[in-house]
This record gives sequence, structure tokens and C-alpha cells, in this order.
Amino acid sequence: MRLHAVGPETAPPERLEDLMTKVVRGDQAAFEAVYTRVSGPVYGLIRRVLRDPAQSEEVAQEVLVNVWKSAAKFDENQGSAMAWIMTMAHRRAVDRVRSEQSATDRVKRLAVRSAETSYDEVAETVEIQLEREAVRRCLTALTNLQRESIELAYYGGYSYREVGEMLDVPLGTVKTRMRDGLIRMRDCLGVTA
Amino acid sequence: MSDLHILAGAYAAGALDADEQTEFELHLGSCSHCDVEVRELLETTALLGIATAEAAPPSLRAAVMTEVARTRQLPPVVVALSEQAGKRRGLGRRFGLTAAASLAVFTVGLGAYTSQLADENGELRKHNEQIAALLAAPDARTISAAGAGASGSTTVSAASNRMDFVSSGLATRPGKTYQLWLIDAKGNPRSVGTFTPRDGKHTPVLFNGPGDATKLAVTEEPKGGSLTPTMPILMSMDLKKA
Repeated sequence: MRLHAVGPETAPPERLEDLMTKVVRGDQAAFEAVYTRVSGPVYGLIRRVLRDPAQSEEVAQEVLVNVWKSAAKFDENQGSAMAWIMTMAHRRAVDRVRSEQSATDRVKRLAVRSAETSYDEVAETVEIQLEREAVRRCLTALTNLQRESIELAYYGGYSYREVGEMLDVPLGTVKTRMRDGLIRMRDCLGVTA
Repeated sequence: MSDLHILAGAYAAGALDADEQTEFELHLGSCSHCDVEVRELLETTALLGIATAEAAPPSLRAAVMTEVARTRQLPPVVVALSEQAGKRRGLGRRFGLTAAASLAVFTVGLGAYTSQLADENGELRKHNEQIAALLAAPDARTISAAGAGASGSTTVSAASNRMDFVSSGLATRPGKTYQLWLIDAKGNPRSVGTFTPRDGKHTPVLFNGPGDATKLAVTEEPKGGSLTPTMPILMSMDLKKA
């Protein structure tokens, strides 16, 4: 499945990369279109990692303003605009969670999160529904260790060392499982760079 | 730095600490096959992120748009200009390369340009006088660049903070123009003018400089110019030489 973002309007949507080219030139209308496409994924991911709605909104605002401010840093040759934006969102969320919350708090948060699933949240577009389903399906194809290490790292913001401690697994094994697991996800989802 | 590529998964999942992340990113710069894998894994984790999408509150949109309206955008960082252009585009339309090692004095025949200007005589005379003054400045030095069928040169007088640029042999494509950029040591570009050759010739472009710029570069842009340079760099002159 090729990674792309589609808004609520129907065909043919402008590529996010082309919108970003306009944003670089200061086109605020283009930025509003970018916002419409990415605010759900950005906010949703940050909320998943941070949990607290007020903090999540604060970090999401930082990220989205930075998409405008640093638009010239986006390089289409290095990957998709969605990946650039989502990587930025993930990094900021993880930085915030590591600096402000102790590891024990995060374990408690993770336990709470496992009980509730975000999969029954209101879905926005057909594309996001499809991506969500594909991710869920591909995650089940991983081994337990691959899936747990990836979820702890990506959704929990844990470092691979912390994951190793939590799962009681050697560091080398954690690194390998994360890489193997993501490679399998990549292939399952049909991602190409 | 052995076996750093085993960290590709942890890196993409954001599971490295700050020092490890920096070290890994340095490693990526010199390992092209790692780079492809990392990019694919980052596309993959982006999908993990999209799977958690949730409608953002309306207050977020309002807050973001308000802040954006009063936020300046950062200019692009252009690093290792000619080298980068060569790496990315391979055998592209590259006319010029970096400055010649030795000075080549490029005399400007002012009379040759009179027929090209539709301007009034007054404008033309003033322009010619400014060029003559620049060429006559005691510290004026000229730097040239040449490539496949085209050449360009700039005369710089740091004392008067004036420069000019003239080229020969650049073809003008429909809807396009050429734009000049002064670029500082950090890679920040500043547009100093545009020119549209006819039959490969144009009047010299006069502008203030060099200031703290270390290079003068030429790119092709849509008519009217651009806010930031469009790659590739067609011609680049190193202003620090000679």
C-alpha cells in the first residue's frame, strides 16, 4: 500500500509534496490544506503517546507550526511529506514523554492504554480507515516479541534499553526484533521508498 | 561504528537516546544502503502513526493558524552547492562548474548591449556608468566560470559593496528566467536579481554585495523568479578565490 494522504474531499487530491512546495513559498492556503490532511494523524499519534489532551494539543501545535516554519527543510528525495511530518510529530512526543514522565508513570500509562483500544475512535477518511486496518492486520503477523518491542518503543516512547529491561531480553535481541519486525511491517504494508 | 545498521529499526521507532540518534544519523551520511532501508522504515513507522489518527480539536486549528500568521519561515540551507547538484541529478543540464583556479579577466563591451535594451537612453546611460564605476574600482576583481557552451563572470568591489554578473551562452526556455543568488558560508541564499538572455546574451546585472556571501550562484527559475533557489545550481562562483 503506497503511503499517501487523502482529505475528506474527493478526487483528484493534490499531492502533499506539491502542497509543501507551495508552503515553502509562503502560501498560507496551501498550508491550510496540509493542516486538513495531517492534523488528524499528527494529533492522534501525539495523543496516543502522551495521553494527556492538553499536553497533546500543545505538542501538536508546536509540530504543525514547525511544518510551516521549516517547510524548506523538507526534501522530497528523502521520503514522503507524510513521513517527514509524522517522524517530526513522533520525535517531539517521545522527547516530551521522556523528559517529563518517569519510567514508572509510563508503565502505568501503558497498562491503561492496553485495556482501551484506539481502534474504535471515530474514523475520518476511508484512506485512514484502510491504513488502520492494514496496520492492525500486519501487526498480528509479527511474533509477539517483535510486536511488543515495536509497540513499546513507538507508542510508548521507550528506548530500546528500557524495552530490554521491561521484556527481560538482551539488548542485541531487542535491536534485532525491532528491525526485523519493522521490515516485516514494511513488506506487509507494501512500502517502498 | 561497526554494525550500526542493526539499529535501523530502533532508530525508525524513535527508540535511540539522543547521543545514539546523532551517531546513527552521522553514520547514515556515509552508508547509502542503510539510508534506503531507514527511509523505508520511517515510511513504515509513519503508517503506524497514521493508524492512531484522531480528529484534532477545533481549538488546535485556530491556535496553529494564528501562530503561523506571525511566524517567519526559515530559508532553505543550501550546502555544498555544485557537488550536491551533481550527486542528485547526475548528468543533468549543467552548464557551469566552480570557479576557475586562475583569474580570467572578462572585459565587458558595453556597446554590445545597447541594442538589447528597450529602456530609455537615460536608464541605459546610468546603468553603463555604474558598471564602468565598478570596473574602475581599485579593488575590483573578476571571477569567471565556464562549462558546456556557457560562461559567466562576476566583478566584485568589496570596498563599494557592488558586484555585477554577466553570462554568455545560456539558453532561455519559455516561461523561464535565470536568477542570481549570493550564498553565505552557512548556505543561506539571498536573491540579487534575475536576467533573461536573448541569443545567449544579456545586460550585466548590478547588485549590492558580497557582504558575507562566499558564493554567487545561478539557477533557472519560473518567470518572475522564486523565493528560494530551484536545484540544480547551473553556475557557481567562489567569491573567496583570488
